[in-house]
Amino acid sequence: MERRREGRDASPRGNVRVVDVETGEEVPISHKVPVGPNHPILKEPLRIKLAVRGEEVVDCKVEMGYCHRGIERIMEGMPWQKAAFLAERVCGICSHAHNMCFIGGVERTAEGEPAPRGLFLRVLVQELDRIQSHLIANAAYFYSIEHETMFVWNMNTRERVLDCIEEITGNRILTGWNVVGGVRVDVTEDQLERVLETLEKVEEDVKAYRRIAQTDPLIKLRSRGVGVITKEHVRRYRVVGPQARASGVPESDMRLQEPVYPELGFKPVSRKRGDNLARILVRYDECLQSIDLIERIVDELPEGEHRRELEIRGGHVDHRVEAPRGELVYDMELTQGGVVRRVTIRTPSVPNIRVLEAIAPGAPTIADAVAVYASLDPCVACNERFVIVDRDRGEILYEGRAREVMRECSRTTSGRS
Amino acid sequence: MLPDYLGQILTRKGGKRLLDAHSPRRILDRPPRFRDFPRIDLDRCVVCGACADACPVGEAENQPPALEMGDRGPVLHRERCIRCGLCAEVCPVGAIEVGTLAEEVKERVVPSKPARVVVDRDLCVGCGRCQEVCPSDAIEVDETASVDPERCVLCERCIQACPVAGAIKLIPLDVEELARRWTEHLKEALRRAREG
Amino acid sequence: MRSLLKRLKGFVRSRSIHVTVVNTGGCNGCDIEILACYTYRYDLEQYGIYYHNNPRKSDVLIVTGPVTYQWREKLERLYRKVPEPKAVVAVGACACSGGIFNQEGGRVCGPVREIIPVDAEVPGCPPRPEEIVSAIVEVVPRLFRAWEFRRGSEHGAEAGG
Ligand code: SF4
Ligand code: SF4
Ligand code: SF4
Repeated sequence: MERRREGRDASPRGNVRVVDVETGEEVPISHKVPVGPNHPILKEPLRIKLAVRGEEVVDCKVEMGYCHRGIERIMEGMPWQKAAFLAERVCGICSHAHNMCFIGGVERTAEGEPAPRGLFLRVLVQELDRIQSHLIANAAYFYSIEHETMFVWNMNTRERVLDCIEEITGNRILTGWNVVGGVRVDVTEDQLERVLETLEKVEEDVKAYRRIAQTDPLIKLRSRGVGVITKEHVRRYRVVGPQARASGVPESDMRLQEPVYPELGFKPVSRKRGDNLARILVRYDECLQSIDLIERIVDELPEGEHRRELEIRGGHVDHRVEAPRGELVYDMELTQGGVVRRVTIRTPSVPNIRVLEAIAPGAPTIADAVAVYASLDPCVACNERFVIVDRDRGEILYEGRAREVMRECSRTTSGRS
Repeated sequence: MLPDYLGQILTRKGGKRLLDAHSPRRILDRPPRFRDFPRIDLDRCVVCGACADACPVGEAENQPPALEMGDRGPVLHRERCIRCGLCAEVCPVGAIEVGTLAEEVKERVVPSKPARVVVDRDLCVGCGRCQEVCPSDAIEVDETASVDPERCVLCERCIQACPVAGAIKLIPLDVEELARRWTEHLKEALRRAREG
Repeated sequence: MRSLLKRLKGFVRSRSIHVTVVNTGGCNGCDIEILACYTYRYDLEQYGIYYHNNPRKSDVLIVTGPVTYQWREKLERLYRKVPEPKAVVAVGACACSGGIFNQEGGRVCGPVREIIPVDAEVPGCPPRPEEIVSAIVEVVPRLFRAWEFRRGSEHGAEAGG
C-alpha cells in the first residue's frame, strides 16, 4: 500500500498526518517503537511497545515475561529455611521486604509470638532497605532524564546506606536476615552507633537532593505535569506504594497495619499532584521519614533475646508487607513444620506497571514516556509472578489474578506456574 | 581520602598503577560479618551430610548441587553457591566457616541434641567395633565402651556395628518424643495382636 | 613493524572498552551491583570502561541471570550483534550455573556458557562490586590486547588490516 506524507497539518502540536493514497483516508498511527527487552535505562528485561504519531505517544502496550523463572514452583516442597532464600531472590532491590513477608507469613501459622527485639531489628533493616531502594529509583529516574549528576550523587549516597546494611547483616543486598521467631544474628551497640552516624550524613544529602529536585528548573521542565496519575487511575489500576501516595492516597501504606510501626508513631506521607516530580519528592520524603523511624527504633529497641524457637502449625495464610514499591502479598499454604506446599506472590510492580498503559499515551515525546516509565519505579524481576504464557493461544495473561492463574496453571500440562 | 590517594601514587607501585591502569587492585576491607564462600575444614568433618541437606541449591539436570557429599566430606561447587551460610549454621562440629556468622548464630540457635547414645554395661562385650566406626572419636573402650555426648553426632553407626543387640542404643532425650515413640510402639503391637 | 602495529592496536583497544549489561532473568541483584561499580567508590570508568547499553557499539557483554526460555534466542541474537572483538563476562551464580533457580521446578535453560561462549565468570550471589571490577579489569583488557595476535594465528594472512 502506498502512503504519502501530507506535510504538517494545522494542529498546534504539528503532527504528521499519514494518508493512504488510494482511498484518501488518514492512517491513524505512523510508527510503532518497541523499547526493550534490553533497555537503556533499567537493566531489566521488559518490552514496551509505543505507538507514536510524530513524537507524540498515542498508545502503549507492556509486554512481560522475560524474567519468568518459576520461583513459586521451585519453592514447593522446600522447608522455610531454604525457601526464605528463594523468596528474597524474587527481586534483588526490595529483597528484604520479600524475605520479611515470607517469614512473617510463616510466623502467623506458628504457635507463640516472635521475639520483640527481633521484630524491631527486622523493621530497622527494612527501613534501611527502603532508603536504598528509593535512592536507586530516583537515580534511575534522573538517568532517564539525562541528569547524570543527580544520578551519581544518589548512587553515592546509596553506597553509604548499603554500608549500614552490610555492617548489620553481612551482605549488601540479599541479606538473609530474617528467620522464624526473630532475626538471625543480634546487633551490638557499636554497630547501631555507626549506623546512626552514617545516617546523619545520608540525611544531609537527601535533604539537599530534595531541595535540588524542588528548585532546579531543568528537572521541573521535564517532570512537572508529566505522567499524571489521577485518583481515578489509582482506583482503577489499584496503584500502590509511593506512586499512589504521590497522588494523594496516603491510606495505601500497609505499614499502618504492621506490628511495630504503630508503636513508633508512624504516619504516611503524601503529595497531591501525582506527576513525575511528586513521585520523586515522595520518595525523598519517605527516605527522611525512614531515617526518623530508625532513630526511634534504636532508642526503643527492647532488650532480650533476638530469636525464639517457634513451633510451626501450618495452614493457609496470607500476609502483607509494605515493600519499598508498595503492598506485597504472600499467599501460602504450609504443612506442619514449615514445608511450603503452595505459594503465590503478588508484587507491587504488577499494578504499577499496568498504569503505564493508561498514562504513557499522554506523554508529549517518546523520551517522556520513558521517563514516566522510570518514575514508576517498576521492578521487572518482581513482575514476573503471575505471568503465564498459553502456548496454544499464544497470549500472555498477567496481572495479579492469583486464583485464575493458579487454576490455569493446574490445567496446563507443561507445568508452568 | 585524598592524602591516601596521593600517597598511593607517590609509592613506586602507585606510579606503576598510574601507567598501567589495569594492574591488580587492593581488595577493600570487608566487614567481619561478610558472608564469603564457605571454607570447609575436611579434617574436622565427620561426613554426616547435614550441610548438603541444608543447602538450598539442589541438583539440576546439567549441574551438580552446590554442596556435594564426597567420601571425605562435602565438596563445594563455587559457581553454584549463593553464599547463604546455611551449611555453616547446621554443621554439628563447626567444620564449615562462613565469616563469623556460624559462631554468632550457633551460640543460641542450634538446639541441644535430641537424643543420646548410651551403652548398656551389662551387655557390652568390649569388642571395640563401635570405636572403629565412630566418625568423630566419641567412643572409648576400656572394658566396656563409653560415649562422649559432646562429640557424638548421632550417626548411629555404632549401633549398626554392634554385634550384641541392645548393648548400645539411641535414647531420645525429649520426654514428648519418648512418649510418642512408646505410643507408636503400643499401637503397632496392638495392630499386630489383632491381626495375628 | 607489523607486530608493533598490532600491539599498538591492542593497547588502544584495551584502553577504551564499552560494556552492555544484559539481564537474562535474574533477580536484579547483580545488575544493581554492576551499577554500583559506577559510583565513586569503585569507579569502573577510571579504567576506561564505559557503560554503554547498546550492543551494536559495545565490546563487552556482561550477562547476569539464568537464561530463561524467553531469553534464549534473544541472547544469541544479541551476541551476534556485538561487533568483533568481543568478550562475554558472566556475573553471578545465576549466570555461571543457573544458581538457585536451576533446580527441580525451575524454568531456566542453564548457564550462559551453554548458549554463548563466555570468557570470564564471577561467582557469588551477588558478587561484591570489587569482585566484579577486578574480574572485568583483569580479564577483559588482556583479551583485547592479545586479540590481534590470536586472530592472526586463526585466520592466517588475511588478518593483517
Ligand atoms: S553457603 Fe549456602 S549455597 Fe553455599 S554451599 Fe553453603 S548452604 Fe550451599
Ligand atoms: S555438616 Fe559438618 S560434619 Fe557434617 S558433613 Fe557437613 S561439614 Fe562434615
Ligand atoms: S546471582 Fe544471585 S544476585 Fe545475581 S541475579 Fe542471580 S539470584 Fe540475583
